[in-house]
Parts: sequence; structure tokens; C-alpha cells
Amino acid sequence: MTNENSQIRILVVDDEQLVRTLVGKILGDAGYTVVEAASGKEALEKIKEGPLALIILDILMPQIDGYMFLELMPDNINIPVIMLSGLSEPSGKVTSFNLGADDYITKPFSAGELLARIQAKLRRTKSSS
Amino acid sequence: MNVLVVDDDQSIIQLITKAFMENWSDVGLISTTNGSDAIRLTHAEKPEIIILDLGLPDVDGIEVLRQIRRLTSAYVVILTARNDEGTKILGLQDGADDYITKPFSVAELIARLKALIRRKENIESRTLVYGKSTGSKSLIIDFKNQAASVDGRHLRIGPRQYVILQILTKNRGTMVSKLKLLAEAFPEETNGDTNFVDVYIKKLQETLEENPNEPRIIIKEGDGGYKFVGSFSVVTKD
Repeated sequence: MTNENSQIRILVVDDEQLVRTLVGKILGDAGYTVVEAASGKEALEKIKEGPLALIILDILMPQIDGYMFLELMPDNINIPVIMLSGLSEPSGKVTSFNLGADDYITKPFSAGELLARIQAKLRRTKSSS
Repeated sequence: MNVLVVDDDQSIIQLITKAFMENWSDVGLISTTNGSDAIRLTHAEKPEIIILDLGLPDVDGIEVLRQIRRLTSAYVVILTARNDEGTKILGLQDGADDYITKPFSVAELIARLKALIRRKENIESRTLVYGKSTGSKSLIIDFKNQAASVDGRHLRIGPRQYVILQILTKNRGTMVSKLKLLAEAFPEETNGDTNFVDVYIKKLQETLEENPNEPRIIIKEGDGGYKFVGSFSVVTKD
């Protein structure tokens, strides 16, 4: 499982270093290869650098926030996006889904649920590739 | 699109049925209040989406999910009052695509279903999209429904991009200043930073232009603004 996951690159986008480190550790322990971005702008650069299987995306970030990132993602990449945000109101979730997000997890989150939701999204994209 | 709703509470079935009817015109909706019928209907009716409660009177929902997964690769959304982490993980690991806890927001349920359907259609059409030949192109923009396509291929354009596109096409052939675009598409940005406009225009060019490095549809006019030109036909449905 771990070796199999090492081929899977996941981009973690959050302006808080603590969150990037925590999520990176959870994903790293599950064997995934983690790529980090501290802003929406940096994330837009990272998606050009190599194939990514999935993106974990915060909403509240300076300049290009999570909503803007969803709008600015290139059309020709089909990477599932899981929002990971402290915003728990339904309106924020609805906006995210309408802009192209595939899932939404509210902080504080459980490592087990995060990994299970990642697996659920990857199961679909893997089976189609 | 065939949808199966499985819930022992008839009022939930009615609520979901109403929400589907309001949001999709092409839905064939079937429902049941028990697990054995859910498995039978999955086999007989071959639904593409299944909304599954876990607290069913005859068979536990997780067991229903496992049996359903032996029959179909349909998208399964668990909708349940069970909120413990263990059940969520079990449900997602055993084949559910999403897990929503009750009480739930209908708007969120619909948004999550739309996301699933979008991904489903995206996966199904991927080969077709990339294999499509590009001859004479027709850009169609439906501003009312915020949908756009080139030769029938759906384009992913966000709400702010629609605002920019709407202003540019309305002023076709005439330069629109970055400050005007900023004020219309980013009313919350009051510091006059037009970098946002440049970034969004670049994204629009990547979406619409054959060669974004040599744009022929949305072109820059000096440092002050942008102009919508080119040979594409634009159909705007009001």
C-alpha cells in the first residue's frame, strides 16, 4: 500500500505552515508523495511542474484564495480537489463545489477521514486512467 | 440519469425527490425504504447514482453498500445520522463516494451531487474531448446559466471570468480598461491592484485561445486594458 502510494503526488495548499506540516505528515505516513504550496499563486505554479493526483486546498489565503484558485485552475487538467477549511457554513461549501471542488472537509479534521476521502476520490480517477 | 434513494424515512425520500426535480430535468428517480429492495433495485434498474441511508430496518446500510458494490460501479452517497469517525471511514473504504451526515443542508447535498456528476461526466467524456478534431470553431456563451462551450466541448469558466467575458463581449472591438474590469469583477478589491485582472484574463486566454501566447480573441491594448476581437462567433442567450 505504502510503496504503491509513493507514485501518487498530492499537492497541499495552505498558508499556515503548521497545517501543511500536519497534513504532509498524515499523507507521508500513508506513503503518498507530498508537494507543498503556501499560497494559491504558488499552487498554480506547482501544478505546472509535474503530474499531481489530487489537491488539498485551503480557502482563506492572501491574494489568490481557494475560490480564486479553483477558478484559475487550467481546464486541461482533471485533478480532484478536496477543500480543507475552517469555514463550516453550507454557503462556503456550496460555493466550493460550484467552482469545481470535489469534496469538502472542515477543520478540525480526523486523519482517518481525510485519508478515506482521498482514497474515495483516487479510486475513481485511477479506475478511469 | 437514474437515481435510487434508499431511506427508511419517507420524508427524507420526498425531500430528496423534490430537490432532484428542481435541479435536474432528466432524472428517473426510484426509491425504497429497505435494504433488500435496494439491492434488488440496483440489480434490476441499474441506477447511476445511489443515495444510501445506513439505518435501514432489515439489512445494515454498510452491508447493503458491500452488496451493491458487487453489482455496480454507480456513484454511492451515504446520507446518514451516524456521525462517528469509524463508520465514515468504513463507508468510504467500502466503496462510497461521499458521506454526508444528517441533519443536512439540501443546498450542500445538491452541490455535492453536482460535483460527483461533473466528475462522472468528465471521466466519461475525457477520451472524446481529447480526441476531438478542431476544425471550424463555434464559441457559445450562455451568460444566464454561466455555461460556455467550443464546438460542443464544455469550458470550465468561473463566475468572475464570466463577468469579465460579459463586459468584453458587450464592448466587442473596443478596449475596456483594467480598472473597469477590476471594479466589475472584483468589487471587494478597492486598492486598484489590477494584477487580478491580468491573471484572470490569462486564464480566459488559456481556455479560449488556440495559442494563448498569441491571443486572437482577447487581446491586450497597451497597459491599460483588453479588447475582445477575433473570428469566433459569440452567441449570448439572455
